[in-house]
Amino acid sequence: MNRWPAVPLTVEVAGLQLRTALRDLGPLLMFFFLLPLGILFFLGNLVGSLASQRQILVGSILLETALVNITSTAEQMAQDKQSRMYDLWVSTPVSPLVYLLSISLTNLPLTLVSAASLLLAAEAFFGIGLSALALAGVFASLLLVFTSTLGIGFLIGAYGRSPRATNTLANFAGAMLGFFAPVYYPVTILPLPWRYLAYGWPLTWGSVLLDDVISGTGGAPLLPVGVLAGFSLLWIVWVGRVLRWRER
Amino acid sequence: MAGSSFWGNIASHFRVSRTGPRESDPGTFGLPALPAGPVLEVKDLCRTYPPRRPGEAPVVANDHLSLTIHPGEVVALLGPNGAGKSTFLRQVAGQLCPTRGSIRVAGVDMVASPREAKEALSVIPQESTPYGGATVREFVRMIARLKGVTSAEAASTVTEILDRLDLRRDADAPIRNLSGGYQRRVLLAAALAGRRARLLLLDEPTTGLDPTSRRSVWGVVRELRDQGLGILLTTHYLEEAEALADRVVILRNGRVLADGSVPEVRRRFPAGGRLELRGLERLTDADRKEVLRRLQGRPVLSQGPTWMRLQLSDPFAPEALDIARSLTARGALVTLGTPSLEDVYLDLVESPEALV
Repeated sequence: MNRWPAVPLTVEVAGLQLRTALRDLGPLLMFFFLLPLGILFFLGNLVGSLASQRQILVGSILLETALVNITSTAEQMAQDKQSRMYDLWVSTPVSPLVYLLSISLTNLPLTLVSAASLLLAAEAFFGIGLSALALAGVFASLLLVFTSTLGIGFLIGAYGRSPRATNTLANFAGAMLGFFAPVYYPVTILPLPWRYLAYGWPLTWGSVLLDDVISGTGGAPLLPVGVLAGFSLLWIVWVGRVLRWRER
Repeated sequence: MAGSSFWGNIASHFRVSRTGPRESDPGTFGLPALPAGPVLEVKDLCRTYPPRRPGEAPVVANDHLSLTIHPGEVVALLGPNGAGKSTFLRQVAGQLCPTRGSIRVAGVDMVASPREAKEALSVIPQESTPYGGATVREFVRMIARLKGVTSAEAASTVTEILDRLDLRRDADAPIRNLSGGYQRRVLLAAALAGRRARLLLLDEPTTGLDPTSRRSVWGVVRELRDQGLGILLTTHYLEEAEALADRVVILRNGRVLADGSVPEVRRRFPAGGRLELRGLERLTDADRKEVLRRLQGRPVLSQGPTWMRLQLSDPFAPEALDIARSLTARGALVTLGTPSLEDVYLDLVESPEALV
């Protein structure tokens, strides 16, 4: 039995899809840069205090990371099902995880570049500066947020009965995240029952973690890190269980 | 040991099996040749879908289907919409679990070892369109890599395939800039990208193509057949089946109605031939009455104001030849012949009883 790991294959396929995506710069610029920067400037100028502006920065970075992860994974799956490229993938001798990860990894570099542009803009316009250590902490936290939302888009794509239903569901999930998760404001201002509900979202913990890292308050990051790692594990288990190419 | 089996299961997602069909000496397209033997063996395949509404019966899409395909053989799967063609193909491609029965691709069990079996097959799904933003070379390379071609081999394998399918000129063009026929050609190139592919599944490969593109795809399919690939195709174009297939299998309601070469099927189903009359407007009223009298009692298959097609029990029997001579003498244009595949197909799928 001769086997070799498919990790380089996943990375190569993601690279190819990234190159392909970069040929359509318009939507990428809008989705990864114009929209999050626009939100940062608009909301950042509405609020006065540095703490609030920092929270807006956290929210812009988080939403861009999570939204891209969820909506573009689900929409890519819907598109692949419509063009029957999904069937072509299914008939290849690779795991469905290669498919899922290659889609997600396609977005990761753009997500990180987008986060860097938001951090630069926040420093230039709102004076939110970060040390090299804090910067490393932000990107490590983003990777954790990325893995903790990894499975949501895939599950929407896998369960969506039609491309239209999948896109609708993905946009709904994005709207839920945008409006109801406490990313643009601290979770502590929510009334108690809502606060408990909010703690059920990975983004709430991402917000707590990023705010801690950016503000340098020195709050113990162990709890949010642990919870986000738990969400990541949950998706791995769930996706691992429902991931099968062959329909029953 | 639940934990270790869980992690083993997760880890298995990151491996690609290379234990597919055994290989011997190199074949064409740089493909290793396989030992002789069927590339596809399907036995007693059944697929039932759950009832659409409560209280309804389950839907039987495939009902005890068996089919064998040998290297270098093209088999066309024919049947009306809902006959079970796509369900059959999806099971063979590893996209759908069979309810019952076995599928072996190049000797490997698709149900028990799907990854290994998939190494031996390539699929072009119905109405599929490749990633439009990718170039031809990128897309074919991606599929090649997914099918187990190593990074080091990929460049030469892709170039070889693109040369073979006359795609070299467009290798670095975005796929969306190519015509429908060339996009189908790109899919064929991708289908060849697996080094171990021995079975090609084509689900309505020329639907929506213009006649020139269709002929071009036929040419490629013939070449692939000549290279030794076994090919299973579904089509609604009967002339396509006649042009390409060594064997046709006609399905209805998930069951096989006919299986054999086109001449065999034409001989067996149904007995008899066709008489086609044209130029009836040239006949006098008296002659036309005489024609109708002589043809009375013979089933009319189709007719128009100046033409008609009838079924004869034996198109070359003396009586049939006599009718033909007599009508020709009166000025009508007469064609006598055995039924076309389309005639047989229509007889089979429209007949109230299954004929096998």
